[in-house]
Amino acid sequence: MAAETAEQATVAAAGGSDLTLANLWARVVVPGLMLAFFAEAGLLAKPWLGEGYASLIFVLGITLIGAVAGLMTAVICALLGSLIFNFVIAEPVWQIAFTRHSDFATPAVFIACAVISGLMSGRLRDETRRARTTNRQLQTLLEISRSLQGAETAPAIQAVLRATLARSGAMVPALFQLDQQGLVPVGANPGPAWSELAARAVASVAEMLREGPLVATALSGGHGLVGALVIEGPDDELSVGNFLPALSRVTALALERAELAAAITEAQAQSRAEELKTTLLSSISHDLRTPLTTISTSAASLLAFQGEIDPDTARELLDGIVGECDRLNRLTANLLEMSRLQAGEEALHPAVLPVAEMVRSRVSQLRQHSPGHRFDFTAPDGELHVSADPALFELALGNVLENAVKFSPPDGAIAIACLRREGSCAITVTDTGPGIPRAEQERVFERFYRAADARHGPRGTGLGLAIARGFVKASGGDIAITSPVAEGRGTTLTITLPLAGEDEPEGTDG
Amino acid sequence: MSGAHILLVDDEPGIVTALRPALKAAGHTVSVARDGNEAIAGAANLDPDVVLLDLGLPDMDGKEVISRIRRQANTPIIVVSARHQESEKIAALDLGADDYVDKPFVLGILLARIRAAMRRRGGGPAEPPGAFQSGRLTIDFATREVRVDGQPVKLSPKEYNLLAALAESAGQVVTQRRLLAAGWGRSEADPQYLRVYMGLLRQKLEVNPAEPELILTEPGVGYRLAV
Repeated sequence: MAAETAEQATVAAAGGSDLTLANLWARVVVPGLMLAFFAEAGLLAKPWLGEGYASLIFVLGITLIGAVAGLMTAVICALLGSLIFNFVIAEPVWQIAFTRHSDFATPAVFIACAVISGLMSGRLRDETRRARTTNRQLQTLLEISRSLQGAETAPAIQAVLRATLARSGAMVPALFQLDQQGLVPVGANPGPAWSELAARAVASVAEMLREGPLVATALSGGHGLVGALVIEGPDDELSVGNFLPALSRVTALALERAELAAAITEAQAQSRAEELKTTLLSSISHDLRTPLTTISTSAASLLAFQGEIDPDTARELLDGIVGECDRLNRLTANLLEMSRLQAGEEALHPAVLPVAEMVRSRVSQLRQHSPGHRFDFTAPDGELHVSADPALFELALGNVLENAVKFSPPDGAIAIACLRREGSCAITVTDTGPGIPRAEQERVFERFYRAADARHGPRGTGLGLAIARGFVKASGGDIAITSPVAEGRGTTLTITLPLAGEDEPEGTDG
Repeated sequence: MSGAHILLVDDEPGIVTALRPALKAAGHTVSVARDGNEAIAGAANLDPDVVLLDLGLPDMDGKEVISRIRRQANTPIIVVSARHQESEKIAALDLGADDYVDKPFVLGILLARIRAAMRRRGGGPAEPPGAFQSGRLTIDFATREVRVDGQPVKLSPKEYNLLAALAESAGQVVTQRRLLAAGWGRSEADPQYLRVYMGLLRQKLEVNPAEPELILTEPGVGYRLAV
């Protein structure tokens, strides 16, 4: 089909269907001048070389005209040349005479030469043109497939096609993707005519559908239909041969690869979520069972061995029950707040909170709870207000403070400060624990991460700091760890929260 | 039965506090280990009669503790864990644990399992007991004669081998692998056989085979002969 079309193009050109000035020059003036030149040369050579050699000069001229101007012109020139030769050179001179055998042979040879040289030069031109077309098609395909390798998404593929096709032929492509909803344009909708042609291309089995300036082709990759490609204004040179089918195949494969990549990413995200859920469930069930075991064992001991247990031990068991109930309660609160954080911002109800007051009240609670530890609270900048969810703020603060208590030695000191820092409110909590190795500093914020040597005191849920970070991030703040603080020990946790609209509090308390 | 010396291995202070008075009140003496290293040292130095072992320890996995203790001694080990996955239980039993109890446990059951472990220790694996007697079931190991309520019951050799394997660890869970090895000589045989033969045993031994009271299933792990 390619060769056929190319030949039609050549014939149309040779027929001179469009007689422009350039055509007139190349087809009429130049051959005419050449013919006149060689006729004059033949005339001049005749007295020296005789009639036979003069005819050879005519043959040379007609062959050259065939090579330069093509078949038709050469044949016309051969006929014209025969008459001129017969009239001015062949004996008898100055009359047209067909009396001798050579009077017939000469025009036959002229025409044969014209046909042979015209055909040969025409084929050469066809070959050149075809080679040029193929080269341009290959260059474009190569450029597209090279650029498509970096295109990971449908819009990226669309962009590559746009850029390359616009550069190599003023074409405008539109990509359509086949999904559950049907055929969807990638990016902006190019218009109803495009969509309609794309849909027809997908529905029909035809390789190419043409309508006006549009060409549409269905895109089928290794696993079936993936979409359609519509191109506006592919020129004659790019419309021929395998260019459009090859382009559609390359595009289909790229699109399919992008879809598979997206599916894999989604599957991975899903399996990660699933894994997280499993970890969450097994961790929660473990964390629920541990306090439950203590409660049920203590209660069962008290019931079964009432007489044999001394009052002090009984008191200890009852304390244990109360403590573990408290722990269960905290675990439940943490879990609920965690799910609220995960539900997104709509689930949060921010209010303007007095940070210094809330921290101070929490610290005084802890003082009663852990009488061995020393707590130093300072608020050098007075009351500071932030906008945050109150329940989450309480919980996050509690988690950070309890963490500090848990990792400090039984008589250790914990320093808490609440201050203004670069337009934000900073809460710092510094413990006198063993510190956190640099490698673990980021991991402590992960869910279910538990420090390796948190062996004394009740074990945590592994949710505390994860919730603190979730809360701080959701409130537009930041949380950071500095460790060690002094002499290779101690950890400072700093929470920064944006100050609520600068309405200065009336009192400054220190 | 006299009280046992129990090594309680748990890093949860609450559980130690809760369990110690009950074990003492039941007549046992209690030593406590808070991590794996203390447990291994305690098993070697204190010569406990029974080890109650939590699997989630701060310094190493409880399964590691089981295999380390097993290298030195034959002390009965009862795993007491909040990990309820069958794979964990099977791994612990295969490594040499004698029994396991899920947390939270019923205190009475834990005490009964300790008694069962004590009985096994009392019999000792060195001199196999001549006979087994519990409730309605009597087994004479010398003559391979089995009686229920005094009436002789005819068992095939495989059925007898399975029942004997259960009776050897009466009151404790016996894993599918151990039962398959006892019945078929290969621990990797199809557990489907086991279900079939346990069904046959129940037909012959249980009052109501549909509601077994003698041969109890430990789902996903194995079987237990009730005592």
